[in-house]
Amino acid sequence: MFVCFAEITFALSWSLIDGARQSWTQVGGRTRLHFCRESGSRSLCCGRTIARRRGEWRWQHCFFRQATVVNHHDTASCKMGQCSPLHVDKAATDEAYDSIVRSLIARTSASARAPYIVVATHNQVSVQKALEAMEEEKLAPSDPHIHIAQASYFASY
Amino acid sequence: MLETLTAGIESGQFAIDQPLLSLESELGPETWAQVEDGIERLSRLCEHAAHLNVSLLFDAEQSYRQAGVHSFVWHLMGEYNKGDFPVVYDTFQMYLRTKVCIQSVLHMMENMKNKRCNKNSALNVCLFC
Repeated sequence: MFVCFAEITFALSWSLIDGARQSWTQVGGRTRLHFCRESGSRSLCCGRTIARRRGEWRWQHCFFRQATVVNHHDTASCKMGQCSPLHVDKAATDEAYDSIVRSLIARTSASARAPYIVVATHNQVSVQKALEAMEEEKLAPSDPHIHIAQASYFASY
Repeated sequence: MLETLTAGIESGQFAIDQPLLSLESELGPETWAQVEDGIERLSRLCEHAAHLNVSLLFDAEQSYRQAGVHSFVWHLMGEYNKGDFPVVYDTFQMYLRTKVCIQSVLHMMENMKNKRCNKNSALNVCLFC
């Protein structure tokens, strides 16, 4: 079931680009960082994200707005008389996601002026597929144009 | 204002790749003033980010506002993603059936000389699911 998602805020998105600038702790060979705080009336919780740079996994951090986006979209759409904008199920969601990621990675490989992509997902399989696509396109794991992030606490595995 | 922009895009009143600055006559003075105000504020933010070599990832919004958010972000991409450093990132909510967004990504990848971004600007995306 996919019932809850978080949305990445832009506040600390630089950490996805430049590498983690925060203090890390090593857990199981991976670098992790967990951090929570309150900001005004909105609870911000730092999730862990992972980025693959220089051939190794690094845990980086980014703030996530805790929100039940799915329910919100459904409710808001119903109020406006629209059908749900959500995919019918998780499989359809994953299929849409994986196909567009693969397409964008291929375009990144082919473009002289490649776009920067953040593959932000909580699905391990989607991350694996993205890495496979990079390998197929002969892109180095450290390719600066592609970053992989995982929404904390919403992992599907 | 974002709702107005989104409704206009989704109803076909504006094209998805129509430059934000070209919508003045279609949005009306009150909405247009809000657009200008938003551009001015966001531009200041982006200028400061570019000065500090910090990237900004613009979060997604509710579906009935998101197309309007894309309009703003793509305008900012055209202005600030000209160098080697990616200043502005847009977010796409892949758990939604927003084919218009996916198509627009592909379109902008294919054609960097589109109406929103000049030929030297890069489209940077965050695909969220």
